[in-house]
Amino acid sequence: MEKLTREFIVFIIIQIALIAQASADSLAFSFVSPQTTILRTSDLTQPQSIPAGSVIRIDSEYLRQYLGTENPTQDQIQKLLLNPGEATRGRLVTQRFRNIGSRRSSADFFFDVSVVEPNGEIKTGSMALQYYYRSGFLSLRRSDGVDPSRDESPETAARRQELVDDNQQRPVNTEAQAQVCVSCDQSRAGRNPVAPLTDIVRSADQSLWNDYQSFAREFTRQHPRITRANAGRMKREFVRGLIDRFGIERAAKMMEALTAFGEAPYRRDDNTQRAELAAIMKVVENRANSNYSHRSRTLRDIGVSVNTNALMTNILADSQFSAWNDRDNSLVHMLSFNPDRTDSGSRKRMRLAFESEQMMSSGRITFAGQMNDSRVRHYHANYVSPRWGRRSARIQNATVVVDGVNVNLSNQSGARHIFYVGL
Amino acid sequence: MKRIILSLALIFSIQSVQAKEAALQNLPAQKIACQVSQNSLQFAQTTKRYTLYEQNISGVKALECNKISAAGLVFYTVLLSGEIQEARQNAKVLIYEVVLQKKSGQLTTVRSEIVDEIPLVGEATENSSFTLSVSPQWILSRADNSVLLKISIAAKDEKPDAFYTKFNPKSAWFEDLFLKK
Repeated sequence: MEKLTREFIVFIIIQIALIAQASADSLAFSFVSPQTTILRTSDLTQPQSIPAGSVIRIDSEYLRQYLGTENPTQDQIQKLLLNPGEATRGRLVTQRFRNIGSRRSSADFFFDVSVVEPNGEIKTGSMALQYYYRSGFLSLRRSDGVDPSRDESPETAARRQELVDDNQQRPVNTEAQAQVCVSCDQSRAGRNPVAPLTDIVRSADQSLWNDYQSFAREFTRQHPRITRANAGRMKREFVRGLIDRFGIERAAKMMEALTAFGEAPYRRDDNTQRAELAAIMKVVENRANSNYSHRSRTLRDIGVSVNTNALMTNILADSQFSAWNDRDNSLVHMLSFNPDRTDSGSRKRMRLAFESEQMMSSGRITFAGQMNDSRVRHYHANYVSPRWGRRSARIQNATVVVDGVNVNLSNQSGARHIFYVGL
Repeated sequence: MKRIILSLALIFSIQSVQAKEAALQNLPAQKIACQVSQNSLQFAQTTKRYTLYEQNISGVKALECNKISAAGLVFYTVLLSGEIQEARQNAKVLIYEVVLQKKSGQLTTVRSEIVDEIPLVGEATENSSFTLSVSPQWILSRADNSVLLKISIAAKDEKPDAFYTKFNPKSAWFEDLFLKK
């Protein structure tokens, strides 16, 4: 009887070990999807796929020294990416990385890597080092901005979340997840096999659009009738509600997308529409970064100091972005937006506005030529002539780059915006 | 017994309404003369000029000025029209502005409500008419000696949209009163 019990216990232990091994194997690939893309060509333009089973080799001497290896494990890379404020604490010198000129200095640094695919093909490119962790929680995102959770089964999502939680609390057991190198550096023979790097980048801001839709549904249910007469008051209720529910920073991000929705001209082509939306957001951000405006009736009316959040202050600044004017029909339209009941065209444009914001964060939308100047703070429609519009300051080719494709907003037909630099 | 309970309930509800009404007192607004010069205003019986809140306004016409005294404070109001230079376009505006006279005599804006606005693009011209109007009501709350301003904005033939604001002495502004949910 004792012998049987002992054997039974050994059998159970073996089964548990096998299950753990199988789970670990599947966990190692839980981030990999057919659309995995964290590698870009060395000029940081074209995203490329990294198939499962590939081995990453860091070409950056600086990072090799920092990590102590040229073939980092998934855990090592994740620890590197997960360390909040590593750069600001001086442990990582960001000048060693390439910055693609993104809007925030704390994000989007790239380092050179080589990828050896399972078929032996070697690709070179750059991998993103993300800094979305200042709040201390794990935030991963795909550098192409696509939300892989759309294609995930609930089981995969749950397993991924477990790995995410594990990474936050304790190191991942890389031995359990180790894979065989396809062609690793033989000088490291005898070390544990290297786990292939998988796409571990996801965006916390994927939820921004979803959160906004849920707020909009509730707001329009509570305020079913928005008119020119009550639009000013409704705007204040709206802004106050956003701030109370999401905090002022997140509320300001949502309002940035809404400003673009309210201001950008309509374009039939999605990429051109994204470019128009992004150009508006670029102006908004340039104003916020330079603290351009300091007066806002709206913020004073709801008891919020203009010094609280520069982005919010500049969006709601007096007489600046007409989409927020108290009696403007655009405001009525914007506040009446209910994703379940609005027309499909408006719903799509609103979604594109939030997507464009995310694409700007991830570097999929950038600006070329004069549009990349931080002093681009003014624009107007081509059918008006404001007194401040100095011809010499006009941008002749307002170029926005969407997924590597140049979109020249100055060449669009019909109503378009004219942008100015340095006013 | 049922009749007694109903009567008591009726008496109680009447008394609570009367109590509420007694706690709020309507404040009279006294019409006064005022003169506009570019983007500043001179109220009658004041020594200092008031600079309008809107800095990029031109063609200002003062339509009505009032004086209100409440809780030891002196307020002036002006309903004005003009043309403002916005970021993208010019617009004709109708603004209701509330001004506080400080102890020093200095006049400062404590609320600036855009009642109506007509962007001057397309067919709209300086002669286009406003379609919205404002009806302010000044109220003193005896409960905490605070000054309330009820603002009603209405389009012709529509029910007015009314909301309350309350003077916040710390921020020196009439802030919207939001209903607690």
